[in-house]
Amino acid sequence: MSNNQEFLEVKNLVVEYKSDGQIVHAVNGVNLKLGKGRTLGLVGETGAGKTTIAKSILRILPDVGCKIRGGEVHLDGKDLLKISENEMRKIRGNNISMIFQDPMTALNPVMRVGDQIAEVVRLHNDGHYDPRKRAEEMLEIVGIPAERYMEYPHQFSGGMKQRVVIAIALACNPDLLLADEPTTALDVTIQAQVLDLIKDLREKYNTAMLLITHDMGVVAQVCDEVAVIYAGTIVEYGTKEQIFDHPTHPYTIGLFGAIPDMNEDEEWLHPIDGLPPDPTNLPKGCPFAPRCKYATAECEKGPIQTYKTADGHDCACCHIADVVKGGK
Amino acid sequence: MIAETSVQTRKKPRKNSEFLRVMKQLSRNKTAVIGLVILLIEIVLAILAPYIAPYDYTEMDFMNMFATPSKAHLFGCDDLGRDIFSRILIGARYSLSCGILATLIGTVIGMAIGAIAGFFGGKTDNIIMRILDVIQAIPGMVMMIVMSAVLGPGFINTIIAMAFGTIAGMARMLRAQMLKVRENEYIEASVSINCSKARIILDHLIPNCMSPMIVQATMGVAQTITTASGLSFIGLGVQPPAPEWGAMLSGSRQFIRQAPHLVIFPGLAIAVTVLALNMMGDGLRDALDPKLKN
Repeated sequence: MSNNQEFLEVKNLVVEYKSDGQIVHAVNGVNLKLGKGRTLGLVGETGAGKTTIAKSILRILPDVGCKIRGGEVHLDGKDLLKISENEMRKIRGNNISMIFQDPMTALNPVMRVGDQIAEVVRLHNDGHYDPRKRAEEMLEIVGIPAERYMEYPHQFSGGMKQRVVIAIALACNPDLLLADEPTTALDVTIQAQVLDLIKDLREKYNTAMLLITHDMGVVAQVCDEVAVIYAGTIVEYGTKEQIFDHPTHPYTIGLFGAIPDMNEDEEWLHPIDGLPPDPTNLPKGCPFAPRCKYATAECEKGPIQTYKTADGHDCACCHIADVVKGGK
Repeated sequence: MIAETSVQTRKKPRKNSEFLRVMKQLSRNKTAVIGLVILLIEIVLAILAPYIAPYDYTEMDFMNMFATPSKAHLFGCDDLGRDIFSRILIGARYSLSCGILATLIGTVIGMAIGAIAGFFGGKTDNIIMRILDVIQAIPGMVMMIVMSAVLGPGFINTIIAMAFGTIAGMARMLRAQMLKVRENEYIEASVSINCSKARIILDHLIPNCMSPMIVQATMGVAQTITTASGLSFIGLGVQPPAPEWGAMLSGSRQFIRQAPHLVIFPGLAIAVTVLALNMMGDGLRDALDPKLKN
C-alpha cells in the first residue's frame, strides 16, 4: 500500500491568478495522495480551486496571469512541475488525461468525432495502433457504434458527446484520469450511465482518477477517498466512509446538512450561512472561520494545523473535539 | 446489435463524400446555385475566350466606330471600332483572375498574420495590430493607388497592390474570430491531449473561424474586381490595349453621352460578376458548415 500510495502526490501546491492588479489566491498549499487504480473525489463549491488543481497537474493553466507559486506534483516519482515542456507533452493525453466538464463545448464542432479520438492516438503513436482502428474500437467500448465515426458532434446527444470525451481521454490508456465535473452538464439518468461507464473502464484498465465534483451523490457512488476543499485549501481528507459517516470539519458537516432529507418533510433548506471568502483577500487564519459557528479567536490567529482524527483521516480544524460533540 | 452494425459496409471514402455533401447542400440553395452557374459560365467563357470571340480584341475597324449592337457586333463597337463583345470575353480573363488571385493571396497572408496575433496575444498581438491600424488608417483606394504608383502599372503589380489591400481586413477578422473561438473548452481539451501549437491553430482554431472568412473572401473577390476596375479606370491598373473591364470603362468615359453602350456593357459585366459572387458566398458558407448539415 505504501508504494501505491505515492503514485500521484501533490505537495504544498500554491497557485495564484492575477486579475486587475489583484492577486487571486486560488490554491493555497494543497496536499493530495492517490494510489494506483484508486479514485479520489475533490469536493468543494464553485471557485474553491478544484479545477485549478487539476489543470496544474496537467500544466495547462493559461499562460497569462496565472502562476504556480510553489509545490510539487509527483507522478510515479517524477516532479511534473520541474520537467521540461517537451517531456510534459509526452505525458499529456498519454499518461494523464482529462475529461472536461461540458461535453457540449469540449468537442471541436467542425471535426468528425472519430477523428477527434484518432487525433490523440496519432499524437502519442508508438506504432502500436492504427489511429483509426483504435478510434473505432474506443467508440464501441463507450457504447457508440463505430459507424458513427464520420459524424459531427452536433449529431450526438449530450450523453453521447460525453462518451466521446471519455473515449478521447481513455484512448491512450492513461494511468491517471482527471475528471472535471464529468456529469454536471448531464441529466440524472445519463449521469448514472456515464458514471457507470467511467467506473467500468477504470476498473478494467486500473486507471487512477481524480474526480472533481460538487455532488456528494457522485462521490458516494464512485470514490474511494474524498478531499473536501474550501477556498483553495483542503479542510478534510479521508476515505469515503470516514467522510460520510464521521464528518469532522464544520464545513463538511455544513455540506451534508445542506442536502435535504428525503424522508422528512422539510420546508427550508439548510445552507451554510455567508459566502466563501474573497480569494483576493483571504483571512489570515482558517478561511472558514467567518462562517463557522465554532470559530474562536484562536481560529483567526494563523494557519490552521491539520489533525489526524483516525488513520488516513485528516481535518484542518482546531475545534475538532467541540465539533464532534456538538455536530451530532 | 453491435455485431450487426459492424457488418454493415463502411461509408465511402471521406474526401468523396465530403465534396458531395457540400455540393448537395449548396444545390439546395437556389440563389447560390444561380450565382455559381453564372460564375462557372463566366470562367468557361474566359478560358475559351480566344476561340469564341468573333473578332480579335485589338482589331480596329474604322467603318464601325461607335457601332450600336447588331448581329455582326453583339455589343456594338467602341471608339476605335473594336468589337466590345470580344473585348469583354478577353477582359473576363484579366478581371476574374485579378479578383480571385489577389483575394486568395491577401486572404492567406492575412489569415497567417491574424492567426499569429490571435493565438499568441499579448505583445505579439499588440505589435501586429498596431501596424495593421496604421495600414488601415489610410483609405483603401488611396493605399492601392500608392501601391500601384510605386510598383508601376501592370497586371501582376495590380494583383500585388490589391492583395496588400486585403491583408489588413482579413487579419483583423481572423484575429477577432480566434479570440472568440480560443475560449472554447475544446481548445483547452486539445492542449490537454498534447496538440502542438501549430496543430491547434491549423486543425482546431482556423476551421472553426472559417465561416465568416469564406463570406468575407467571396465578397472580397467582388470588391477586388471593382477596385481593380477602379485602378484601371484611373490608368494605374491593367494597361491598354489589354481589355480589362475597368480599363474599358475608363477608356470610353468621354463618349458616355453619344454612345452609352461603350460603358454599359463592361459595367454590366462587372455588376453581374459581383452579384454572382455575393450570391454564392452566402450559400457556400452555409454548405461548408457541418452544423447546418441535414
